[in-house]
Amino acid sequence: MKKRTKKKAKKKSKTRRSKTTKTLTGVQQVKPAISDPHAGHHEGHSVVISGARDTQHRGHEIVVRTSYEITVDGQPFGGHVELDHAGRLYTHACPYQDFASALDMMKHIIEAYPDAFASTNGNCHQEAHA
Amino acid sequence: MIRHNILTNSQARDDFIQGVHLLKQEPWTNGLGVYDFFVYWHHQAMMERTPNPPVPSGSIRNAAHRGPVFLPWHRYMMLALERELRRVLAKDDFRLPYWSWTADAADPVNSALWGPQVMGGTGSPVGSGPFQRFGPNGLEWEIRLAQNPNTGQLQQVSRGLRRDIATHPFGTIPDTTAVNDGIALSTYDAFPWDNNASGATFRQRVEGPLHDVVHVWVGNVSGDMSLGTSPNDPVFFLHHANIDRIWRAWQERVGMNVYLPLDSEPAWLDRHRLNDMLHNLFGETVSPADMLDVDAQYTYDTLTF
Repeated sequence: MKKRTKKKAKKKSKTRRSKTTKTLTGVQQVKPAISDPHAGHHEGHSVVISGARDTQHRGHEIVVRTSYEITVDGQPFGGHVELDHAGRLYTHACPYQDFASALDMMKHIIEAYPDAFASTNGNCHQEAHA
Repeated sequence: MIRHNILTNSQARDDFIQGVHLLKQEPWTNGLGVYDFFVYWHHQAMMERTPNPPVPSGSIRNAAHRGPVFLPWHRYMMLALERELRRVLAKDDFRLPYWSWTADAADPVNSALWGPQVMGGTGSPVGSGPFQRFGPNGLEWEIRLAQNPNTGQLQQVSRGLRRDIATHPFGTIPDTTAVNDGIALSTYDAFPWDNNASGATFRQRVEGPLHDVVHVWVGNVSGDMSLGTSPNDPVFFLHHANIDRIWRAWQERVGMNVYLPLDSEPAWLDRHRLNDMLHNLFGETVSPADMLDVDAQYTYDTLTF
């Protein structure tokens, strides 16, 4: 398998390598999608975060589907959350670690983004000046 | 052309610091600089979920992390930044320096890296060195893009850089033994191609127990290195140059063109297979295969840890 990989990769790299040596072009043409800095929690509807895991055991297929409905100060939390095969939670907000419980994850997010959860009544203050 | 240790090559250090400031100052769009483009790109790649079968609704991997493409995508990103730095510095021989954190593992808090002449210290905001909000000699380092945790989307902000080194319960950073144990693994990656904490394959071991731990060691909970917008801290690039060095050392042992998964693997591994297109925002056609042998563009001063 390794041998096959090597041959294919070598062939491709010869044909494409030049594309990685040119100056990065087109940056100025990229228009970023940036949200309203004052946008906060999702309003008016619940956000359900779901994940599914499966495995085979003694000829049986086991599927476990999990859903989370998370609110902070009564407001739906709409951040990206995923569930891995081990049942641990992962969020793009804090991508370099995962969490055994959704409660621990939310505590961590609130501490990681003090500007987004600055007030105690659930209103967001996204802009920070330091 | 050689990538050097930032703590042993003062020219590479000074060029890197000057270069990232120049990119920060160079306008991109909407008050953002070209440096901020790399923060944006990293976030966009992270937000692109790639499927996680066999249950279709699951999704763990993204276009840059938690899967096989982690190493080639970041090599590609580093090459792109390196090209931009050469341009603004007008130095064709500039190559990114790296932070050899294994060399600092015994006492990382007191590493020279956190000195005022290198990356500055810790704090919220960082209060010393060249990346203070309003630093010496007119140098300013403004964080302009942050994630809204409630939506996952980016928003424009104006604040100083945040670090919180050495306070996370993960403890210290990985040492030479940890890195060499990873390099000793023979398989690049394997099913289920995820970020399994056991680190049974080389890519899993590098991404989780080595890469993730250093991010969180620098950023703890709220430091910029711990967030999805981690390139906001220039230490990101020094750290990833070292991660790339670990990959290159593994390639030295196993073979330059060893990579998995192959194109014969199912479509649900899109973005991660050998000849899939790497996520980028400027229309280049580049795959993991293109990132396997880049010795023509740079080598490292040493592959010993």
